[in-house]
Amino acid sequence: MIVIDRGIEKHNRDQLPWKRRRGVVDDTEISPKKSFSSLVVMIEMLALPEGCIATVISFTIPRDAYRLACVSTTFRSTADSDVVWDRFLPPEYSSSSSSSFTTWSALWKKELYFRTCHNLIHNGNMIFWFDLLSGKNCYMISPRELYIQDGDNNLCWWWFAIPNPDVDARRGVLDSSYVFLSNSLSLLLL
Amino acid sequence: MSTPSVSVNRVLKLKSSDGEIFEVKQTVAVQSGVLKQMMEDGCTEGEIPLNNVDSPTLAKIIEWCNKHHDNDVEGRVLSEEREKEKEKEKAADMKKWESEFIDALNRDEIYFLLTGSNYMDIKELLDCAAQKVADMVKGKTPEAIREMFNIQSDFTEEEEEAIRKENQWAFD
Repeated sequence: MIVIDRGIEKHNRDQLPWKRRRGVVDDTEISPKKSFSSLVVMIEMLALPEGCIATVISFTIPRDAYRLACVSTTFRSTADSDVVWDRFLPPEYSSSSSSSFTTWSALWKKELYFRTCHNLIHNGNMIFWFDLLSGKNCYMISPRELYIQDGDNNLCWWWFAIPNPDVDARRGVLDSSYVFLSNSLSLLLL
Repeated sequence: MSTPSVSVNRVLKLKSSDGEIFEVKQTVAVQSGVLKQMMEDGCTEGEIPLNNVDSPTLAKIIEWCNKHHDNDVEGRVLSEEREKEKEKEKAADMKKWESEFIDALNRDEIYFLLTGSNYMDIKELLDCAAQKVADMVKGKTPEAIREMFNIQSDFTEEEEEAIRKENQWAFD
């Protein structure tokens, strides 16, 4: 019996690292009073350990995590946890990555997510962000980076400047029966 | 006391919260992080009480572990033979089996499976059950989620208003 308790303590320590970091001492394991004594308690999500709730939330998308944070105080603290936001971050920013982003590791994952989702510029000709609601990677590519069919033909295309320091110019189509564009991205970016 | 960590023929006796005994091969039980740790510590003599897992849930957990153990064994043989296509097929079959396994459970059973797999530290099963619950809450409003899980909000009116304002974009 003692051995099992020790095992569970270890398990919980491993499962809930954010509790230690954020100074939350109380471990809301199911108390003996609550422990499956009635069906009503059993089916309440509140009766689930926070580790379970965190795992569930991490399988949703950021928009759902925000909605779940509005459900109750337990859900709010869990929905803000690093376990959840680590999963929403692109792999190169998550703690499983051994890339050069270790200087950001001191940030809470949620904060890191919001810093990252605002545009990062690649070579000045490409903007990367990820969509807040879906968590998907998005790229905006300057026309300078694209191969454009008949791009040098002034009868078909013209360049015009836009007041955006990130993208120096855009190309507009004058008249064309068809448009062919192509571009390649380094796999490292995806 | 220390014993060899895992033996092919040895079985563990797991005792559910309602007193039922289940015999499980050690090679199957290693999928549980808690039981694996106990085996490494040589503390698996006699009955192992699992006080947070009732017998129907433990039966389901063992069914899952047996299925994944069988798959692992066969998977290793296939990979040695470099039969990639068959491996893919096997993975797809397993995905289908997992999906049918979880879809056959009602909401209460899924919650028990969540807590049980969390308690026994069986990551794949925890993830599978969590994915199912996540699919149930996706796109729902906080009110609908409270109703679904019978949760009372413990925010004050002011707190709730402030949180909603802060997260307004998620409701647009």
